[in-house]
Amino acid sequence: MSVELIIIIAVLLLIVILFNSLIAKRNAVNNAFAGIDSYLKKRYDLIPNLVAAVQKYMEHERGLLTEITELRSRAISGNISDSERVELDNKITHALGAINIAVENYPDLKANTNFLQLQAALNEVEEQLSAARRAYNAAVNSYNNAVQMFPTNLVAMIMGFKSRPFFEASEAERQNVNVKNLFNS
Amino acid sequence: MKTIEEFKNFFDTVLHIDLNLLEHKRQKTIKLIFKNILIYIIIIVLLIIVGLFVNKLIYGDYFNEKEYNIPIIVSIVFSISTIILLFQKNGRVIQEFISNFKKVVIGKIVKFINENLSYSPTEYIPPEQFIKSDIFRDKINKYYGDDLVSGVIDKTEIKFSEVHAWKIVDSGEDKEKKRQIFEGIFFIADFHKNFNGKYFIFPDFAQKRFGGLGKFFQKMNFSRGKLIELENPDFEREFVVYGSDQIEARYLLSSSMMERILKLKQGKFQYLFISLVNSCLYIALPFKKKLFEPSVFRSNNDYRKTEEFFSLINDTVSIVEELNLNTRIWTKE
Repeated sequence: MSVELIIIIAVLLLIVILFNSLIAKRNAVNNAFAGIDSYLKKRYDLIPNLVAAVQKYMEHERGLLTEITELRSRAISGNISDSERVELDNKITHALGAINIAVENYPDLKANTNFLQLQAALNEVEEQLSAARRAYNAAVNSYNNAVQMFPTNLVAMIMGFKSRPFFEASEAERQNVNVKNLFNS
Repeated sequence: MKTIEEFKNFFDTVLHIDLNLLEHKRQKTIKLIFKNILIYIIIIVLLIIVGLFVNKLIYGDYFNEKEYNIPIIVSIVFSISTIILLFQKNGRVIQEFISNFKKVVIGKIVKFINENLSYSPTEYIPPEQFIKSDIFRDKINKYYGDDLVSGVIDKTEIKFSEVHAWKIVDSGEDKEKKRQIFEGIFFIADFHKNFNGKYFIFPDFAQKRFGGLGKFFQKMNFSRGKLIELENPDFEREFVVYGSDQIEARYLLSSSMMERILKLKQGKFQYLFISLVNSCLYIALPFKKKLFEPSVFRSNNDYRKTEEFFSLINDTVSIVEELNLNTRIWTKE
């Protein structure tokens, strides 16, 4: 076997390895995004139950409950872009935070077992959602490094792989930090 | 969590009295030990004298070089047996004192820290649970422990004890070679979140020593699941995390939990080996010196020594508060 052939095989092998590692990282990003999606769906499923549990008590927050129901309907309608979806989810997070604060004014509601279970389930989903976003960002970080660093960037350029944006907390979410602190998560 | 000031007050008002009584018992124990030694020395001297006399009666001399001197040999054999008996008897006396001391002093300290906790000087974390934590994967051939503290703190069930685990690496003809797997406190608590996978948080020796190369080898190590790279750089510097699922790992290790674990490491426990398995939190805290051991030949009526016992138990119990395990705002009750 000639030296040239060995070099060609080695280079091809290297390209295959680099290409596969890029694909693995891209799949990890997609998987992580699907992870966020699954927790969002879990949260959508909980919203009608939450609204049903609190509406008997929350006379003054009718507007808030209608708003969250509408946001949910729009989010699950399917005819929305990714950026709209992110915006809707941020609004839902904000509305859920507002409900959690309003609950403080209704001692009967706070003592309701059904509501407490729902609140625990929602807290859990919020925490899982936050974990999924962090996992997504970690996957994006690893993928973006590969897309931008030598030598994987050469393969990425040839294959047309582009950097992905990070999942950043919206302004509304940042303001929500206080609400989260209430629950000591 | 109790403060040192509270403990000092407890020492002055309660423990001090017990320690005075125990000091009295300790002096009695020493007297008993010396009394036993004296009695056994007399017995040994008598045995040897009888041996010599019987030897003279049989062979005409106290020691006859041409004969086997069987009576002397018999008396030496009996003397050695007597010495063994003396060690056993005094060993029991010492053990009884230590056990009584622990029951009274450590038992009261444990109750002082938290009423709902109980203490047993002879029990320990069973080897099955130690193995279940999956922190140490070597085959365990020898296992023992003592000083089990257990109970429920607010909503969290905990237990911990001293544990020693060994592996026999070479069982030669006359002596077997052992390698220590773990020596220290083994802590188990009910974790406050539900989860399905297995997660390991270990001190990051590889990355600290070998930098990027260490991280590469950590990535290649699939025996404990995937390498989980977290976004807290301080935490990443100190720990390496492996686990079955990237999202679940981050659900368990929230930003505040990472901070709390870091604080625990920076504060009281230099090395922490943590695993999260089957809804439980396992922590192995390596220690070289023997824990909770009172002395028979020196006075234990000493504030500093008692405070050492208190601090160690208090610090271990406070893991529940430090890691916020009583916060039950999720579906796990």
